[in-house]
Amino acid sequence: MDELSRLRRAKEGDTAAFGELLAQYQDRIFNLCRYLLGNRQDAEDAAQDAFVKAFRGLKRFEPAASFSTWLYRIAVNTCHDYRRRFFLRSLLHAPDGESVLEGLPSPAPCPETAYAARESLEALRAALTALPVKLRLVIILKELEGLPYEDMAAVLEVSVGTVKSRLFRAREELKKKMRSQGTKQGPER
Amino acid sequence: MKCAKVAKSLSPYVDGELGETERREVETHLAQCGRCAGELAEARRLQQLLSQAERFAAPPGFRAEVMARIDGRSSPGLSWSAVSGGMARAFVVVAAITAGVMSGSLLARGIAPPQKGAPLIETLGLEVFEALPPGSLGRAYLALTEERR
Repeated sequence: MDELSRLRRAKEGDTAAFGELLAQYQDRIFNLCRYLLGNRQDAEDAAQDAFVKAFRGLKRFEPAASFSTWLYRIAVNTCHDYRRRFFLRSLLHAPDGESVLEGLPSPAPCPETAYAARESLEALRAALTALPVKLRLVIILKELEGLPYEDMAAVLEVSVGTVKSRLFRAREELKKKMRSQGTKQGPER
Repeated sequence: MKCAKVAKSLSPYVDGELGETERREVETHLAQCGRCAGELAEARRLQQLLSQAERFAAPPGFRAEVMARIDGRSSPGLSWSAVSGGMARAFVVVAAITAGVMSGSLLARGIAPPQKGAPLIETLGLEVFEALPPGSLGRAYLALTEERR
């Protein structure tokens, strides 16, 4: 069964068909939430919420549109809601110390390049973490999820021009932050 | 094409999102400009590094958990108990602040009743807290204001 057929059946309330769509997209949606929220548990909760919202809102979805774009948009909005809740939660609790650094890319195993790769990935982790969420989001959608600009614009509900300028700023910021990481770690060996 | 324009076009260039004409213009410039070619190399390195970033897979049981929620067999991720717990904590904080302000106000009035005809500013002086026992909130506040003066 192709995606369109699954969508049509899911729209009619067929939960098994929705389960197949879920299996198809669960890793991508979880990955997005994981990078946006910074820890596994919140990412899992947000990704679950996104799929439940998608199922409940499926009747309003037009199959002519891209399902993945629609799903990403729900996930991004859900993550924004979670981040707002974190802010409110932070007013009442001390931070739990877990950050986006937890579990981000691990060093490459190749022994010849392991040290250099570790340094680069460490710098990338720190730079990604320090990036404002709006800029981090475009990096995730482009570099990790591989979305074209038009789909990114649809997910973010902005123009393609805005996507271009955000990506430009995000990459400039990333480079700047990685350079400053390199400076902090000392000269290259 | 000038370096400043090429710098802005490099991001869509590496993404393959430039139109044919602009792509050619960028490539012509890159062939003659070492600085922009260096910027391109850095952009590609960053892209390559990001391609190595880990992709997180949904944890085991994720699908079953979502399906259970859809079927109404499981509670949502951010449950009502969590939300109501948070609201209860927020209420306690607000209530404590309100109670503190109200009792402080009553206490201050009891210690230094405003004298008829006295200027308002004198009745609100910090001296009213000096009569409070050491270790009390009023004395702590007084100490804090002393530090800031």
